[in-house]
Amino acid sequence: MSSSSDPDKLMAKADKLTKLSFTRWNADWKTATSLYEQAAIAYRFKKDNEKAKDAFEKASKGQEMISSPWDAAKHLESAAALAKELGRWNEVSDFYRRASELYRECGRAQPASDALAKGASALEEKAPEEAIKMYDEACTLLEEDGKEQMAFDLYRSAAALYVKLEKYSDAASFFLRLGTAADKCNAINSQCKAYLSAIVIYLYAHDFQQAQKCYNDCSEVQAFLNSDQNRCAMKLLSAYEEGDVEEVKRLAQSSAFNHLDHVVIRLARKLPTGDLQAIKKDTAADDGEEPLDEDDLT
Amino acid sequence: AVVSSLSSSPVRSSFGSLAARVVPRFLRPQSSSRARLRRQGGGSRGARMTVIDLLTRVDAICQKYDKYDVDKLNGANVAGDDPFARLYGSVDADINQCVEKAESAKQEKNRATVVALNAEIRRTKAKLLEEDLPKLQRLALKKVKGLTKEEIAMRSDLVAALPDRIHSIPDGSSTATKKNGTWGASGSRTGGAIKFDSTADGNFDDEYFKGTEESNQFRQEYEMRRMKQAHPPIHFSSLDEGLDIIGEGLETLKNMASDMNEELDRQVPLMDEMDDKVDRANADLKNTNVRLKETVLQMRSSRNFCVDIILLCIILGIAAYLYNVLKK
Repeated sequence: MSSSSDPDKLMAKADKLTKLSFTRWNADWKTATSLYEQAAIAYRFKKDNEKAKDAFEKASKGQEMISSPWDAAKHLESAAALAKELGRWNEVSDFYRRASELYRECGRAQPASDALAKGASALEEKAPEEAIKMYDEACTLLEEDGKEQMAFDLYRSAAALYVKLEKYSDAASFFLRLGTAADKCNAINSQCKAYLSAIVIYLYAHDFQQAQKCYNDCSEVQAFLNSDQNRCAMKLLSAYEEGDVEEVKRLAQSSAFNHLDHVVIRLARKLPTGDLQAIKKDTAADDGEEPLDEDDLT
Repeated sequence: AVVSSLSSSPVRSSFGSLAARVVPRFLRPQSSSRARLRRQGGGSRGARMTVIDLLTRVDAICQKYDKYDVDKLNGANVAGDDPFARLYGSVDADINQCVEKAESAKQEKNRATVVALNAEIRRTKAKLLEEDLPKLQRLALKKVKGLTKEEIAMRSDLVAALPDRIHSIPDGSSTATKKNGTWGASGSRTGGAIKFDSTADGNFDDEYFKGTEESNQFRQEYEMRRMKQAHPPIHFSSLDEGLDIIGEGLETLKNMASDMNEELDRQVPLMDEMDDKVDRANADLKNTNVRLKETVLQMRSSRNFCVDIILLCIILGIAAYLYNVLKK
């Protein structure tokens, strides 16, 4: 079978097998696919990325033709890795997406989301928007399949990316998603850490109201209520309310924060941001409004 | 892949050797990994208890149901003589134990153990005085057959002597009067004024009062220590720092442990999946190997044989022909 080890010859042969012409009515995909695979491996060995990538693409197409989506997806992943080395970013995202679809065809959600995650991490530098979308899809895939536990890392990476892009509310919402996922899996520690991270992010974004609301929502959750992180959050928020900068700084150095994600730790160290006095004024104003609301309800 | 590779090598002899090598190699590691997975999967999988497990379980069950052992219970009430003697014996043993503890406490250098020992002594004393003594007194007065009047009288005397013995056990509270206010740097807390003194007269009110005195003294001492925080001769600030460091270390440990916990939880279903898949692959492989063996045996038994016989006949024919030719 492995007659000539010259990949070019193999490719030519395989191409001949697949091109429909006057003499050839059916394309012999099976042999063609194996020839393509061999050629691709040989190219990769020779470090000829461009040709290897093409060979992998064709091999994957062949696998699709002989209806084995699993192998097709695997070849696409290799092709995508090579494309990454070549720097063809749109091809990277294309390949990984198609690979993920093929995996989904096989009914395997985990590899599908893995493919998307790989794509996203490859694209983090160059095309962060695309990467975020891929992370999102990967997380949704796993959520649908009920395998949230595998998604924790994805949530964290996505949130880190958002923080890098300075989209703090999105980042916080991702952390809250992590919290719900952790709740389903009974991963109390992760859940509490996620909630604390969300609160820290809101505070960093000068959004004290949101932080307060977030804290109140999270306090509904029994598991969070009894945790260390809850106490830490409470102290932090009360320090904010009192406008006590030193206290905030001291709390941010405390050990409960050291176990969060590094991105969040960096944010926490930079707290407090913004004008605490302004926040105090805001909260005072809010308290003034509340009695009116109560009157309305009665 | 195994089958295809085997079918592609048409050499007959390699079949047998390959089969011999494949069968054990593939089966052995699988079964050991399965055994490992089984063991890791917890004792709930498959009832494989060792003898030691059985023994411990039986012991635990026996201990639990001992109280329902009728024989033992009956033994308790057999003769009136026994309960008194037994109870007295146990009280005696307790008192002796306390005395020993007091002795060791006197010689003990470590303050903490001294405190603990004293506390234990006090607890036993209280128990003896409150529970056992009245019981003994009641039992002593019971009219029992087979005992003379003198013996009964003797018993009451014994019982009367007990409280004195109990009280006389030193439990560190005797030095209370001297060391009342001196919570100095020497840290001599033992005798100290730890007056949770349960040479209980049953006066709990007194104890509570002493308790608050206690806490006031504690607070005073704490304040004093805080003020003297800068002074080298005080050793307790390092204690606080040490404790803080230990606390932080523990928190880190706790976080790491809960992270590990979650990680392991994540991996359990994966392991289960793997176990299933490996089991299936194992079964398939076994199947394949059996069929392979059959095929190989078949080949060897029938075709080989026939070919061998035919070849043999041909050789004999050739030999006979040559013989004929040469004879001529």
